[in-house]
Amino acid sequence: MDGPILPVETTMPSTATAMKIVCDRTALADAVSLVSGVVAARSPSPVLQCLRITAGDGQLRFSATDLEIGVAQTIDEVDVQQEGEVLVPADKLSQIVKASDDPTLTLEAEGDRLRIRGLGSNWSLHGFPVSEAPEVEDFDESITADYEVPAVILRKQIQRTLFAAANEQSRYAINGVLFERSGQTLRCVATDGRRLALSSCSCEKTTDQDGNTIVPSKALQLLGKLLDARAQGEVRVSIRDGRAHFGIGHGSRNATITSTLVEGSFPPWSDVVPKDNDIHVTMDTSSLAGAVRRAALLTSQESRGVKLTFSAGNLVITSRAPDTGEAEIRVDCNYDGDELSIGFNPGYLTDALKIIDSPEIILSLKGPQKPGVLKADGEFIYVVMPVSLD
Amino acid sequence: MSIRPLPRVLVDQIAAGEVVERPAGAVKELVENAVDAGATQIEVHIADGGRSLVSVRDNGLGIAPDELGLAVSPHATSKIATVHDLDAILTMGFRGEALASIGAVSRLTVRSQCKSAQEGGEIRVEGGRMGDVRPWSGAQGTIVEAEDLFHNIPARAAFLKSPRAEAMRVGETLMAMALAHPTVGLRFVVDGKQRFDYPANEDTTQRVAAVTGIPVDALLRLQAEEAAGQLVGCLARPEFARHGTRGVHLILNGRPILDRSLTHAIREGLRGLIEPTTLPPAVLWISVPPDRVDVNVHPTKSEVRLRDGSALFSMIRMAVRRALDEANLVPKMPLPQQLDEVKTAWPARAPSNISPSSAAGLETGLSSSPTSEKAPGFDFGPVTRSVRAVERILVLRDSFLVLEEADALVVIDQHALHERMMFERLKDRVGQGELPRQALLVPEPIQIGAEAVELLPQWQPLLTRLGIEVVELGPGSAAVQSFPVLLLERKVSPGPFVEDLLSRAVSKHLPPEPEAALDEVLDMMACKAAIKAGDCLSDAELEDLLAQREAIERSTNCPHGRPTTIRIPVEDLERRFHRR
Ligand SMILES: Nc1ncnc2c1ncn2[C@@H]1O[C@H](COP(=O)(O)OP(=O)(O)O)[C@@H](O)[C@H]1O
Ligand SMILES: [Mg+2]
Repeated sequence: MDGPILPVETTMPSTATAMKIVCDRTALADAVSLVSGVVAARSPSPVLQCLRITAGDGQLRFSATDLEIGVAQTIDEVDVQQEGEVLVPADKLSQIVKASDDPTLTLEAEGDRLRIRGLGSNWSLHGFPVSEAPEVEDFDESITADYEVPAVILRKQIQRTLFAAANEQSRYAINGVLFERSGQTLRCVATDGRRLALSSCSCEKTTDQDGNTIVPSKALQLLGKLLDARAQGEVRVSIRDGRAHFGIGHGSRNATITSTLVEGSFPPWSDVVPKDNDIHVTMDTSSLAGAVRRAALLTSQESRGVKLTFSAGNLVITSRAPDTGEAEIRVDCNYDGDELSIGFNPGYLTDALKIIDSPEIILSLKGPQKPGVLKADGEFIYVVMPVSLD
Repeated sequence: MSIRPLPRVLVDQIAAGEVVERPAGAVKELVENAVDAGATQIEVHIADGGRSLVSVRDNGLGIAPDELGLAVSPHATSKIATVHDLDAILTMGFRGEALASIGAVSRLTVRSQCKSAQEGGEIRVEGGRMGDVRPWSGAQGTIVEAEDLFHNIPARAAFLKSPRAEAMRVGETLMAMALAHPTVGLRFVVDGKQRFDYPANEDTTQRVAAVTGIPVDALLRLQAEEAAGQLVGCLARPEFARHGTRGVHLILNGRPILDRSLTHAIREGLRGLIEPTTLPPAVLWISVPPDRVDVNVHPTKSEVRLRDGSALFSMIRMAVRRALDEANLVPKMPLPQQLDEVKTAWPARAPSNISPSSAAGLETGLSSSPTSEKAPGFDFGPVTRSVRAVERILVLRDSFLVLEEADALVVIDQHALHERMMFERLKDRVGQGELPRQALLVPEPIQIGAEAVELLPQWQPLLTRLGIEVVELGPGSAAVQSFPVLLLERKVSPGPFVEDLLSRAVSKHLPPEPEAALDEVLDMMACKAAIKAGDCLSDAELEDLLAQREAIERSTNCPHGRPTTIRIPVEDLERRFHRR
């Protein structure tokens, strides 16, 4: 029989890893794309660019790791005809599964190869011995989690903080989100040194030990995606052996993300959140967001700043790009003090306004050189440092 | 305060500003006069980009000696005798202003031998003052010479570009006129060297080929006749399409015009055969009844108001379509390919700045390196090189940009070029005031040693100008409190940058006087902020970079003279392949 890519040998010695399953293609595609998110684009080791597929107990488990973060996910939209395992390049598998339009695909392991069959298509993908794959842990159900958070809430916590985490190297441990649990409260905090996002929620405490953990951004990106797909039930969080473990779902539909932690110290965030801002302005979230976005159209890279000028009942946002032009946008607000001007990077404002889902926000200020604070629904606090404008 | 009429001379100077902004404008007016006088042969000489001399000689009807004075007076014209003529003649935009205007801003001499008169005459105008008519003899026709253009308007003179750039504009203007009047012989000489010589009574397609550099057999003929007007024209085959519309020449009732809508009609006719932002070179002669067009929209007459715009639009679109059909081009042409995914596959990218000044092969090659003896692409001679499809940019290893210029391959070091761009921007910005700075949430501690901490007060004024705020925390330690917005945008870390800066100051790698160190510190900033070799640029970044390339390369502020661009002339390539 001729395959379109490689001639497939028909007589394969049956090995312990032989596997045969028929799987719903959409479920397969979702799992493959999610799990392969961890795979490093450029890795010295080809095995680290692979996805491990394990068929057993009527379910299919996908796992991959970049050695720092491990992701494992099971699906049950599958008919396991023969149990077994295979280790294949994630990107190729993902492309094949996406390109196919069959409702189901048959996956058959033959030694280190994976044969994928649809109605008229037949691929044979070279893989590696499963024994070379680094282990990826599942959430250890025998250990009690430190705390549990409803999936929808955790998703929101990530959404409200991750964007503010630093991308560039810094002396502080800010390339991730601080998970600070004390008692029944979980605070997530992220900063890039110019703004800081803080979101609080309550959690179900299962152990007494409070703790601070910094989870790398990449792990949280993956966790966020996973929660987008499976935002049901509780997420169990456990910190042990220098790793964070997130367990989602149970049984044949579970997923686990484990990650190393960001080492080092997170800046003392409670010192950073100003307590003496005494000017409070309540504003409509979407009109402020719209106004900032409109003003931001005329800023330049060297003076990325918009000026907010408050006067009685009125906020005027202005911007200026030296060679391009100027903008002036007016918004109503309930301000009633003396005229006050302060400059901000408009991107920092819109980043936060985008993820706030309550219709109103409170902006608290102290003066033109002092940090501004955005607050929404009592659980979200966003500190943003001003920009000097002349 | 009293209100007085402006002196005459001033009025003329103001009018001159509208008619002759630069030598090319004067040349255009003078050549139009020659054409109006029925000349079949016109010769244009300029020197020093037209600044020291613009001379136009024709073999037309000439001006009688007793009319010379009138010819150089404002609002005097032989071309509108009665108000009745006005409608019919408006087409040509005659206003009787050109000679007077040029006379107001130069030393003007008009010499003419009229067909009917026995003797020729000469008149001089200087700074708007007219001299006496003196006898002169020469061949039939007129010679108009304008010397020292704008000598009495320094502001206008300062506005002129380099002689080379002005000469280029004159050349472009003349090429457009050569297309507008394809049967008139036109010769152009710059500083004694002939740039082109298009013979009289040439076949129009020949003329288009000679001017645009496109081979005759690649030109499709356009023709249409309708109530709204008549059309004849030449259109280059779609594979000659390039960005912009400068290859398109519209000639309405004998005058070059600009008209977006009619240009768009050509594009509509080519729909599906070219990328939407491109057009192949085209020359369209359109004639409409004079009363169907308003010319006086603008004194330079290049924009007109058409009364039957939409009828003309569809006439042109259909004529283009027909020509393509007849040439069997419609089914054969491949649609634009989608290559954008693979960078090394020469993705079609054509930032507007690097498209040549006109599709006619008039590349403006201003960026030629000083080492190449002759400046390729600045040759007005009849162009024989065929014009290729859209410019493309190859990105090599995310480090080098390779692009095609008139007669050379150009390789750009993206880091070096971007670094210079950053330097220029920073320098410019610092000149306007302190660099905008972003306050940091938590001051970033730096370890700089006691010596550097001692230097801080001395350096603080410079640092402040640059948007950096450092506070002393104790002996040998300090913290960065604010940092320039631009550097943060470019992901430069405050701590290491300031440490590096201060340690250079301590080790005397920077001039001891902080102000004298400004350029070097800006250079440090530019280097750190610039894109690196290996950074993959977005299309927008790439376009931004290339758009500023010309300006960057001409500036001389850069503290270190590393090259940003290497040009490999085609001759070099030919030599290396033993073709020469
Ligand atoms: N090259 C020329 N040959 C013959 N007559 C000319 C020439 N140039 C100018 N004239 C005469 O001088 C007059 C004034 O010229 P000009 O100032 O350009 O105004 P206009 O061309 O608008 O009439 C023209 O109307 C024409 O009679
Ligand atoms: Mg004239």
